[in-house]
Amino acid sequence: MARTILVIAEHRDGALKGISKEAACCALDLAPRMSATVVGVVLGPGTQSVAQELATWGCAQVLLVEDGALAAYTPEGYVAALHQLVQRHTPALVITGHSYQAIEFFPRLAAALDAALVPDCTGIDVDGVRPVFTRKVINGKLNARCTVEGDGPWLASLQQGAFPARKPQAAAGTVVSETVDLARVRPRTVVSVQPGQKGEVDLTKAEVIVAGGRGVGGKEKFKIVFDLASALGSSAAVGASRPPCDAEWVEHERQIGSSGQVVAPKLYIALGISGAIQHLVGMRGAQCIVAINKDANAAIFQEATYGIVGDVHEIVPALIAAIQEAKSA
Amino acid sequence: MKILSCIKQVPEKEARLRIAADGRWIQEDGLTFVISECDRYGVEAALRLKERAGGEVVVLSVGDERSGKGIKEALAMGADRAIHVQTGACAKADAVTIARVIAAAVKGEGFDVVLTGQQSDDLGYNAVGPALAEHLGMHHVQIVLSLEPASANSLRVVHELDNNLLETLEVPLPAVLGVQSGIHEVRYASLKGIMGAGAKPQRKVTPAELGLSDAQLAPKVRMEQLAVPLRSSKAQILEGDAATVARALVEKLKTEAKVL
Repeated sequence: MARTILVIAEHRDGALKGISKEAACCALDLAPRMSATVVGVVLGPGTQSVAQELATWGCAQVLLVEDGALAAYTPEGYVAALHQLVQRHTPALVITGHSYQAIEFFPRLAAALDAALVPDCTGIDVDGVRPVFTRKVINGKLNARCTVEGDGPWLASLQQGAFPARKPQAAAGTVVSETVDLARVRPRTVVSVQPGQKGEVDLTKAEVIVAGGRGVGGKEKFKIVFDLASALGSSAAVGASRPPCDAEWVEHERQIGSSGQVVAPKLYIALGISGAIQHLVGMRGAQCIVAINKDANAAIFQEATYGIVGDVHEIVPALIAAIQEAKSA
Repeated sequence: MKILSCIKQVPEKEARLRIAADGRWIQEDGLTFVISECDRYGVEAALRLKERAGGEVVVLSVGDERSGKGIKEALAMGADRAIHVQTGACAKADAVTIARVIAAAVKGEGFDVVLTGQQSDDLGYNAVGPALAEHLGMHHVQIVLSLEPASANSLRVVHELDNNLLETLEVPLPAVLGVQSGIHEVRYASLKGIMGAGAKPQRKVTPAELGLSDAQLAPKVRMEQLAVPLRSSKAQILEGDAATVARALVEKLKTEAKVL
């Protein structure tokens, strides 16, 4: 019997999410090496077109569950449906994007199946026909190669952006309707949904951003971030990673990352920022990234164009002086 | 309200890391271990929930003597009692296995609210809380930014969705919540709290005493090899004293990257 890689897709407003296209491409890449075929899963009523789109991303088959109990996303609904589909189709590997929804439903699914779960993978190799996963540990500072026990199903979620989505040339697969028992699924009681940012600071159009992190060291010390931005001129704005916002060294609206603003300036200078993935996804689009951090192992250096290992409060005053020197030259 | 706060000890953020000789983990000798950041916010959220709704806060940790230090700190902050599952075996276990151990340890306790940190600073799974919720048959919400009592048997919870949206849910109890960093300012233990922590009840158990077999504790995922990630090929590390690297950087930004 052919082995299966199951790809769980997510959708919003009737469109397949980008992170799910990445997961499908990853599966298609693994399939020949694992002697497997790729089968997609789309959950929710009225998602026929999402399933058809997923079928063009390298899935030989897409399982579609249009049960009304899945009309509004709930982790319980996803877990109940996926649990039944996994038992029915016995995939070797189940993958999905490491998304806000996946971090709710995927570990629950793993627990329900008593399965191996490898969250937030940045790479997957194949050894024989078994997958070998790479993921980051210790705040992204080190890579860990992980193997999984048993014969599967193994569950892995994929870090956003780690597996590029390239539309495959393969012919579109078929969409197959499936039914599952969701009688026990109850909707969540949603009181409201609101935008997280209510501030005046729009960093998305800034050409130059100086951003401070935990390593800046305190509320008073955060002034140095503004000082460097001033030295760089009127097109430079000030941002921050999560810790300074949590600690109220700076306004929350300056937060850059998955729960803040997503920016793409020409120049991004990261001061004392370690480089948590939640921050990186918000600034990776910058054309040139400068990282200044005293920890040579900080993950931010993996993203940087230029790096300086040193104390922000020693390097930045020298940098301000050098900028002024260059201006007057 | 009966509230559980799960905590884990991790290397402090500034620790200098070296990979152990067998390549499978870091050298832990000489490192300072602290309560993982989100877990610390979880303890604070638990204490504030008790201040509003009454009841008790129990702190739980799975691990060796190091975990005892974190437990003592949480008791000093104000937790009423502790459960310490004593094992060195689970430090690097997969999320489903660690959740099974916690589920076995709290069986029969009847917790209304279980708080975990959203993710640990070392393994960063984002997964133990929801796996625990599945084992316990509870509701679960991830990335929780605020929580307050809504009724005798529900909480009003704000959590993050993607696209920078915040969703407010009314969550029926019992529930497991994954607490995000920054939820509240975290208190320091008072001198009185520190003095009193040692006298608070601690239940110490081993996984075997919880009825867990070796097969149930066997890791489903194994870390085989740790490595320092390769820097992207374009990355240039500038070296020298502050003035030298500052001038070199400005020059490169002007002439090479052409962004100044």
